[in-house]
Amino acid sequence: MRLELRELSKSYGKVTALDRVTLTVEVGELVCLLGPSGSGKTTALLIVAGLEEPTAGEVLLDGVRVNGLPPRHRSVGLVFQNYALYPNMSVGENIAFPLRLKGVGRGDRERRVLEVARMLGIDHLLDRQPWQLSGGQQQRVALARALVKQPRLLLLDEPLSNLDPLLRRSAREEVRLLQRRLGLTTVWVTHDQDEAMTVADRLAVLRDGRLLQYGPPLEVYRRPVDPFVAELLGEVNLLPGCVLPAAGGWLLRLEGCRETLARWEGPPPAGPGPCLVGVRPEDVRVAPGGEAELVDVRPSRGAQMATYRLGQQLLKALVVGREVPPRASLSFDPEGVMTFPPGNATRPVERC
Amino acid sequence: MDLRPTRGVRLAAAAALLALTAPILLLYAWLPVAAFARRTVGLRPEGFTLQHWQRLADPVGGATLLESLARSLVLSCLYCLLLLAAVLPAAYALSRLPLPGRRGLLALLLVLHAFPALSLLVGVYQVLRWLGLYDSLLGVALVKTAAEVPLGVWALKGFFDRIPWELEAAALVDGGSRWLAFRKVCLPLARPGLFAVAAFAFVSGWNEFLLPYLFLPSASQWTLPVYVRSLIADFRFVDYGVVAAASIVYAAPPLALFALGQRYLLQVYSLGGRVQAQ
Repeated sequence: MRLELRELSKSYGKVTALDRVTLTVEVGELVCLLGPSGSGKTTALLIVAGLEEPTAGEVLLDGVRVNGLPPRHRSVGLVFQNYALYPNMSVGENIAFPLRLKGVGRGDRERRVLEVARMLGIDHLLDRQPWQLSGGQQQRVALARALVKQPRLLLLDEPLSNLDPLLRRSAREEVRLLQRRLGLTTVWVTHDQDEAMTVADRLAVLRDGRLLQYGPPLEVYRRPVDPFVAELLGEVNLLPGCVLPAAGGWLLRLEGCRETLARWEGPPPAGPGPCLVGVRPEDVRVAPGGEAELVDVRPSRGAQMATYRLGQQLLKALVVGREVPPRASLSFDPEGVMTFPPGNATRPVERC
Repeated sequence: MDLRPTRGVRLAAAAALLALTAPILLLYAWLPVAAFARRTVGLRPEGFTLQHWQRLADPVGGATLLESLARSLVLSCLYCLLLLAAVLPAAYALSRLPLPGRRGLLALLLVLHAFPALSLLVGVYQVLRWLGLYDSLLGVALVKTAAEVPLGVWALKGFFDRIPWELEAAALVDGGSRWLAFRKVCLPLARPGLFAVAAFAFVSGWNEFLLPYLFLPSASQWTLPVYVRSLIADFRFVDYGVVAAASIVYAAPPLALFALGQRYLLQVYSLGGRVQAQ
C-alpha cells in the first residue's frame, strides 16, 4: 500500500513533535525513519497507525485521506518497541487475537496462526505464556501478531532495540528478507544508523520534527544535506577549509594548512571560498612520509582507524593495510568530499 | 556477607510480634470458648452447652439473627456493586483519557476523601427522607457508596495506571474498538484491582454500623452489626455466651472471603509484576 504524508504536523501544547513532514513510501518499499530521540519519528508512526491525530496535514493510504479513521480500519500491522504482548493470553492467543476480532472462523484462524508462526520459527511456542519467552522470541511473536491479519502496511517502532547486539543483527536481516518476500510496504523507526543503512530502501532523517533528508541510504551517506546528517550516518571529519582556484581546476585546503588535500579538474562541489569540509575516514588517503603525525590507532571493522594531527587539526583516516605510517601525507578522494556553508557545524570544530 | 537475620534475632522478633498480637488473639480465642461453655472463668470454660445458639433463634427486639445476616449480605453486596459501577468508569477515565482538568479532579477527590462524611448526617437524612429511601437498604448503600467513591477511584486508578498504554494501542491496531480494547485487554489485567476494591468494599459494608443504625430505624431492617449491638444494649444483664455465638456468625463471612481469595490475591500480584516486565 502506498503511503503519503502531506505537510504533517503534530504539536502537544507548545511542543512541536512534527513540523510539516512530507514524504511518500511506494508499494513494497521499506523506509526507515532515522533520528535521535525526540525527533518525532515515533509520533509520525503513531499518526500513520491512527493512534494519534495530526494537528495539521494529511495521511494518505493508496491516495485516500485517512485522517480520523480509527486504526482498525487502516489495514496496518504495528510492532511496538516493548512488543506489547497481551500478558493474559498465550502466544497462540496473542497471534490469533487480530483474527478473532475480524471474526475469522476457528479452523481458518488456527491454520493462519500456524502458518505465520512457522514462517517465523515460533510454532513450538504457541502454548507458552508471553512472560516465559526470551526477548528475541517475544519480538517474533509481536511480528507474527502484526502479520497474521495480512496488513498492507507494516509499521515497526524500534522493533529490535530491546535485543542484544548479536541477535539484533541477525534479526535485522531476517525481517528485511521477510519484508522482501512478502513485498510488504514497511515503515521502520530506528535511532540506529547501522540498522537504517542496512535495511532501508530509502532513509528519512528527522530532527526536531523536521524532515532533513529523504533518499537511498548510500546517497544520504555520501551526500548529506548538512553536517548533522553527515554525523548521524557515520563517522566524519568536519573541518573548516577553503576551495581555491588553481591551474586547470580547483583545489581544497584546510584552514591554517598549506597542503592541498583534494583537486578537481572540473567544477568543485562548492565555493570558491571558505566552507566546512566533511570527509569520511574511508575517503582519506594515507601515504607514508609527510606533514601529518599519527596520534592514535584503534581497530575498526577489519581495518584500522588512525587519528592524525595535521597542523592544529585532528583527522581520522581508515587504513586498510596492516601498516599505519607514523608520519603521513594525507589527501581526500575528491568524490568523497562534502562541503557545507562555513560555520554550519553541529559541534565545535577545532580551529587552526 | 550473609544479610539474613540470625536465628536469635528471628526468634526475638517472633516473640515480640507474638506479645503485641496476644491481646487480639486471646479475644478471638475467647469467642468459640464462650459460645459453647455454660460458664467461663477467665478463659477457662465450665461445661458444654448449645443453649446460646438456641437463644439466637429467638427474635431479639423484633429481628432474628438469620434475618439480620441475610440483610447484611444484601447490603454488602449491593454496596459492593454500586461502588464498582461508580468507580470503574471513573478510574479508567482518569487513568486513560485526556480529560480537561484531570489533575484538579484527582486532587479534589482526595479532599473529598479527607472530608468527614459524618458531618453531613443531618443533610443526608433530609435527602433520604425526600427520596423516600429512609429506612431502606438501598438508601444506606447509596450513602455508603457516595462516601467511599473517592478512595475507590484512587485505588483502582493505580491499577489501570500500571497497564502499559501500548497494550491498549495494540488492541486498537489489531482491529478492536476502544470499548473492546477496554473489555478484552484492560479489564482482565485490572482484575486484581477490581477484586481488591470489591473485597474491601464488601468488608467495609459488612462492618458498617453507624449508617444502618441511623438510617434503618425499624427492627425489621436491622443489619448484623446493629443486631449484635442490640444483644448488648437491650438485655438487662448481658448474656456474653449469646454475644459470643452471634459474633462468630458475624466474623465468619469476611474471614471466609479472605481465606478463599487469598490464593487469587497472591497469584494476582505476581501477574501484576509480569505486566510491568513486558
